[in-house]
Amino acid sequence: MIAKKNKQRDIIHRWEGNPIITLDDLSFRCADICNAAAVKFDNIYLLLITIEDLRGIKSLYLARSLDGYRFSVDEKPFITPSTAGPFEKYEKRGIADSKITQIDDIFYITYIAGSEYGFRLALAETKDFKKVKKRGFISEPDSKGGVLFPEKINGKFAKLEMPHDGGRIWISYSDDLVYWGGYSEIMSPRGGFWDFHKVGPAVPPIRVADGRWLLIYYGVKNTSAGSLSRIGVVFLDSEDPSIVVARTNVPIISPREIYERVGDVPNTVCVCGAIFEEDKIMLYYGVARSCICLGMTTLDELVEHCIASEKEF
Amino acid sequence: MIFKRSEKNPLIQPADVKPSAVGFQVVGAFNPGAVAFKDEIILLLRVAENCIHEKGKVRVPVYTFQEGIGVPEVMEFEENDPDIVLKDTRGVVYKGKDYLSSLSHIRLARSRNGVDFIVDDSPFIFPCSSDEEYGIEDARVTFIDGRYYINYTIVSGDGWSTALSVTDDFKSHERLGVIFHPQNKDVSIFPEKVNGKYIALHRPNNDGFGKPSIWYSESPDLLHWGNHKCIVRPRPGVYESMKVGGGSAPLKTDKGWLCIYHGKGDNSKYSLFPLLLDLEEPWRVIKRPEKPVFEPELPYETGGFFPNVVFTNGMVEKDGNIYMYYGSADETSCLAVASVNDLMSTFP
Repeated sequence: MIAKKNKQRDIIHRWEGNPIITLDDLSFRCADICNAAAVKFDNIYLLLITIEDLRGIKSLYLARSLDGYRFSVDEKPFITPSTAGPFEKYEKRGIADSKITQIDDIFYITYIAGSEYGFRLALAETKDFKKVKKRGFISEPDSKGGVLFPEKINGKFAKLEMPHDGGRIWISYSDDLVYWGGYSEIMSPRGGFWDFHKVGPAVPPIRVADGRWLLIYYGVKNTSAGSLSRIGVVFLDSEDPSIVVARTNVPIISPREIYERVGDVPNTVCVCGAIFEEDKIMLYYGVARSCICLGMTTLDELVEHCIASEKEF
Repeated sequence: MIFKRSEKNPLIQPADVKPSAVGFQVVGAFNPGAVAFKDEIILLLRVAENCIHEKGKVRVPVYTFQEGIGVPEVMEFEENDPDIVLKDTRGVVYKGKDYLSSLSHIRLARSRNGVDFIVDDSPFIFPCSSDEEYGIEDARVTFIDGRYYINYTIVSGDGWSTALSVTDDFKSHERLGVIFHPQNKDVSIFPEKVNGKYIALHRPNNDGFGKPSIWYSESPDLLHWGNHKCIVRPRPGVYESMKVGGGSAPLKTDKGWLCIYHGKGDNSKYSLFPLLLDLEEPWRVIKRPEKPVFEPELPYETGGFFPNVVFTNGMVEKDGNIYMYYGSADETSCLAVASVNDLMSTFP
């Protein structure tokens, strides 16, 4: 069977029940779905997904599951664009693409706020996924794809982001999650490669057994038929995460299935969430801006792949 | 006229500046930062250099970096090399890599009377890493708590961002790192804290979302910045139709923080506007006149390397007067003087 062979081309193993959330799974009408942040809380698998309403304005909704495979999406959004107060001005065109990082007992949610003033990273926090508090913006315009590290680096909070539309990943540091500095670029697109035109952080970095940071990122290559978005992996230095120590030469997952190829934004896989369970990695990814899928791998596989792909090419 | 131009304009021209390397020639000595230091006025010139032309060759300036030191060199191609692609006057592409036809660094010029300047022979702030491989531009100085902080635009393949240095003597400077990530320039740092925080205006590009605007930002330490707010957007009309950006460090007056910012308008013409921000809440605009206070008029402003540009990033207050140093046409450095009272009278 050719279809099966194709599936084995990717390091990420797609779950056979994909896609796990589609428009048909929602109890309300909306335009499209994309990007799932993922976290396990109180033995419940939680996804924070971006849903665009029929007007075209995006909000963030929670989806819940007991097993990590079958999810039900809340009827009401968890975080919506502010309609009053100091944040309203910068969230008028919607909020999207959340990522979740747990630091101590607080879950920090970063998301992109859009307005006529550009895209900015915003920060919210929750302890229980019932109440959520917006803390404000943590970037200049334009910036996208912001993720926080789950622990302090040399006593400071650290974040990765993709400033402006230029498509490189930058690191910065903060004492208080309000004022950010120490900016430096850590990785850039590679000419000719699958990540030729743009790279951005996809999932908050995870410290793995040998101390290094695993960063799952997305790469974009522009083609004559539009852009292709795929997922890759880098390892960052354990002491100084601004140093990339290894980078996959090939993507770990690319759009292949029909539901990844066809949708509101075709040929897109965009990871925003991963749950690490012992050695298993559950990767929740939005595809074609139309549904959410699940892929699985192990840390060993990613490490092996990273080394192998360096040798192979 | 509120601002009176110096009769000695342009005060500094490219021919007054020694190139930083053999084979280079200076094509611009403009957009000066300005500061009163001891009994001198010091200008921090943006010195733009390209390569001396030779027939049949394409020559571009490059910097190579060795252990944190930038070395200027001439890169030479045969004009008929099939791998070379001429872009426009700003540069060439060779085997997929961009080369700019001119690169900038920061050079000091010193004067006792604020009018007659002597330009240093060697650079003051020079590119030192690949983050600065396309040069350093448009320095602004702010005197805070006894030290001189200098911010400037650094240019690389990732666009432009703003970095900070500090000096005590204008002989050497210490780099403090990037303070605003790409794309961000036109940073004006206030000379004192407000409500316990340092304040800066900055100009992110936010391309595709309205037009580039002036933002407000705060910092506990001059190194980490946050609480960004958009405070001045370009207005419709001929003067600001493309963008606006901040100038030098604002001047404190009893009525508010006095700033002079630039608007880029129709036909890429730059003109200068006064702006008054609230003393206690500097994100609040108190006064902003409809019309500019200074526009390109004389031949050295309406002609030159990039015609119809007046751009200021350096002003010094002395005896109730503002000495506004400005770049003309991306080529020369000039001076215009106004009394603070006259300038305040332009506010509606």
